[in-house]
Amino acid sequence: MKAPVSRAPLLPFAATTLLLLLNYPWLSLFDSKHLVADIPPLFLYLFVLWLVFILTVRFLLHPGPVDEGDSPVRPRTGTDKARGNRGA
Amino acid sequence: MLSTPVVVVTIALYLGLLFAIAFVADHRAKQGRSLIANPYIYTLSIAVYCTAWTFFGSVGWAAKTGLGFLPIYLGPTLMAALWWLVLRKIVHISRRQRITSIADFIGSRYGKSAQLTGLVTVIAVVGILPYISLQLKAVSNSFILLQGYPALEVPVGSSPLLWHDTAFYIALLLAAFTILFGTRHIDVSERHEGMVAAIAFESIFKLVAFLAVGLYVTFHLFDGPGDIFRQAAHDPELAKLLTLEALPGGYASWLSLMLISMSAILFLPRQFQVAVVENVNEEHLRQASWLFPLYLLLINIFVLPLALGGLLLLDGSVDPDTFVLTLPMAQQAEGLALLAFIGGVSAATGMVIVATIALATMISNELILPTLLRTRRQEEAKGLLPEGDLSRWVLRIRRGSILVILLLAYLYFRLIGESYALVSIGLVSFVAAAQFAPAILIGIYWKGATRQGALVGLLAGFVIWGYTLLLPALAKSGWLPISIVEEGLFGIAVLKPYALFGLAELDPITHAVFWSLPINIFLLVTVSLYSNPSLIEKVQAREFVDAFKDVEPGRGRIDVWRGTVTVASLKALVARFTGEEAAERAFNQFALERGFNFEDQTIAEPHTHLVSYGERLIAGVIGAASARVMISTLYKGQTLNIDDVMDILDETSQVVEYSHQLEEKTRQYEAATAKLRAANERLQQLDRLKDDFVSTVSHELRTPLTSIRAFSEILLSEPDLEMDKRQEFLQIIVDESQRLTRLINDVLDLAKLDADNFQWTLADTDLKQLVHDATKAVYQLYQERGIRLRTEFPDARVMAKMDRDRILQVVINLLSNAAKFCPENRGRVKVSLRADAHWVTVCVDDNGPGIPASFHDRLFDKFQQVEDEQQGKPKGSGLGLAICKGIIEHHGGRIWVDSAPGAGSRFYFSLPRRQSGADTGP
Repeated sequence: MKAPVSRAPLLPFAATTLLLLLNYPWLSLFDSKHLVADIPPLFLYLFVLWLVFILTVRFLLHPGPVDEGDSPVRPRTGTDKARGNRGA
Repeated sequence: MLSTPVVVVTIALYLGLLFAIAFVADHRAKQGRSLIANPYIYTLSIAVYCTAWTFFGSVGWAAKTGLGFLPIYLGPTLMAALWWLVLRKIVHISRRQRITSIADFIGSRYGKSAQLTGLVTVIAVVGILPYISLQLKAVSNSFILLQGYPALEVPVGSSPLLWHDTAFYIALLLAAFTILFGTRHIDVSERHEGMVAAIAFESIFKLVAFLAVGLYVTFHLFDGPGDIFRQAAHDPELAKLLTLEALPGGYASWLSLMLISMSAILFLPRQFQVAVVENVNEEHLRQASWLFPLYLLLINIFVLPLALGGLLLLDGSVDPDTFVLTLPMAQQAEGLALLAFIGGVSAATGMVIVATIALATMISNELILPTLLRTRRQEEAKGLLPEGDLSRWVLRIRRGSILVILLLAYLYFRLIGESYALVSIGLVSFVAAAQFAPAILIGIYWKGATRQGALVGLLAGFVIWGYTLLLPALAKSGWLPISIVEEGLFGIAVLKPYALFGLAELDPITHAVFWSLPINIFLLVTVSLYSNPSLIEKVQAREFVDAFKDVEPGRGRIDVWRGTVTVASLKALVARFTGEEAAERAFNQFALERGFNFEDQTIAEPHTHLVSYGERLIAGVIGAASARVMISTLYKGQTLNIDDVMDILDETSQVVEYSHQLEEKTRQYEAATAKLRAANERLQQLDRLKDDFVSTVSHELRTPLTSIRAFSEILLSEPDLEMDKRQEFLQIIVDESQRLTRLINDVLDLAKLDADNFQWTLADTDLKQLVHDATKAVYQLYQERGIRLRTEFPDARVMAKMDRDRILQVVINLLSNAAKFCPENRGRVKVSLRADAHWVTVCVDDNGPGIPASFHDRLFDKFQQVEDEQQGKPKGSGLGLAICKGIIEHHGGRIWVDSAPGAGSRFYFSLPRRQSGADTGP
């Protein structure tokens, strides 16, 4: 099975990106009095960004279960089997 | 329903519940079934970050600045993403060093400096007082509000007398509660499981209460958030709150708030307490890194709707800081109002309990104990300190500290706090806590940071903080002339606290941040670069920076304690601080882990690190600086002062350095020895070869010499020998002499070949001609033995570059060998020459007895001769083929044999044709 690679080293980059997104000039893009679906665009932007970032951090700190995906695991087992047959 | 007795009873019930939770958690901890050892409780305990400021103040602030309250929560979200990298390291270090507080951490990093821990403690206490006073203000205001129900305003008027002031009683109540909570017993690790469980519960409670009010206002009083925002957008004043227009200080303020809250989430003393000191397992950070931001998001989602709702529904005289309470009150939702009030109380008490415990630990460990232990000499100290269990004494100091801190906070509230909004008070503390960030963050990643650098940086940051934030606050409250703020100190305009050196565009907080932090960092780094760290600083710097480079216990660590201390006296000292039982347990564990038996080992020897272990145990109770002083009392006559310790460290590190050099040298010698051994083996082998050679050659020389001597003696002793006999003997002597000459010539040739001493004269030579000459040279021999010699040459000349004489020697040798081994008169020898583009090959084919395959390899070695069973040893030195091989190989060619018994022998040699084109001549 392929060892899960730590994604934690990406955290500083994620944080830096958020820091940039949370400041000028990004904020000015959403700094408007015109409501979007009755919500102030700035409010919407900040809270959605916040939630996305939380999920990103969760993703980076929890390498998903490796055997679930369509994964590099399967071809590997195939070769093992083939090798076994040749041996027999 | 909201009468004073109901409110008081509710508070009492709530605090009772908290106490029960703490009691159960402590009980479970003792049984080893920890209630708090999971990431969720850990996350909730970190949520002590959300205080009355969040609960009441955020709404108040949002009512003035719109989304301006958010950076205080976005900063921690950013920082939480880095916890796995930064906070985990701090937690790791703290566990190894048994750190009890943020002051202890900074002090330990910089060589367990008492000066530095003292300074950090002072900054923490002075800096955090406003924050605690904020909680007092929030709780007392909300209490007064409820008392005044159904009125929605705090009655204005002169401050009541002390014994009529609600805030005073709240301060006392909180002090009593905190003392009960945090100082019931002393723990070696300074961890308070009961407190953490209670704080976690409070975090749930305040979140639920706030969300309840938020949902009630948004969905009951209004038609969902859209409704509130729509109504607000219609009002030009409120519409400003939906954008960044209302934000004082604009983007600069936004950024600076984010930065200081990033540091606050780690370096506020209470955050350090819950996140670092109370951490049970580093792995919990993995969950907390995203769960805590999620908590922040939830508790903030209704802040703006509540602020706008309050502004839309309540009239302008109601303080926005009280909206969370006054909105339900205005609707006569008394139960919800009570829930909101208790929610506010939970937010405030959580902060006060943890902050005062953290500060009291610092005051007792880093200020009072070291001062007591240092100013008095040991003997006096013994008189002063009661013998026996010192832990009770430490507890008393802590309890006193808690009371003093809360009374000071109350004083701040009375003197200054009443004229400020909640958030403004809290931010002052944030900036103070941010001053710790450089010393800690630089300290755990850069070994070069020194005690002096940290001291100067912190001091400068603290002074700037005091000048730009505390001083104006005192002036505005009328305790100092207001002219200091308006005209600058002594009327010097560049010294205006809110516009230092003309930096006037910023709000006070941003202004203070942008002055204090860069100067703090700059001084820390530059002073560190130009100061020499002492050795204990270097040791600690390594321990901190290389925290994750795991060192085996006892290896690479230097035990600074030297001299003789008995295990019993050490244990007794530890027991005085931790209590008998805990000391016994800790020592047994040490013995178990390191495989000791204290019955055999009564002396705590330096290499065992037992004394350092004891020191850390004591440090867990009274801090690193005091623990060092206490341990030093054990060494009485042999006590080392700090200079001695430094000398020892110096010496030790020199020894370590020296031994490194020795190791390096040893490695070099080992390599040299291996080379010498190989050379020696080679020499011995050569020596053996030489011996073999000499003995063989002597043997070969002796045979002809013996016959020469024998026949000569016969001729000498018998002068009248017959003429033909005499002739025969003389012929033998001549033959044998010739054989000797040949042998000696061969040996000389071989020696020259081996030593590469031949004079080679390479020239283009016609090999056909050469072989022809060779057959002429051996003609006589073939004639004598009656052997027929045939040649088989190509028509053209066969040119190759070679030493003619030597190759001639080879061909003659091969032809003579063939003649020697062929049967007389029936012998047939054929010499043939072939040429292709690259090689010329000569083959000498005979019909002799043939050579078994097992001899083929050895045939070309020196003195190897194939003995024939019938004929015995053949004539010759046994060197001929070895010489041939040497000559051919010198030409870059090859010589080999193809033969089998009864099938004759074919000796081949090939030479490379270096000059193509010369071979096709006529």
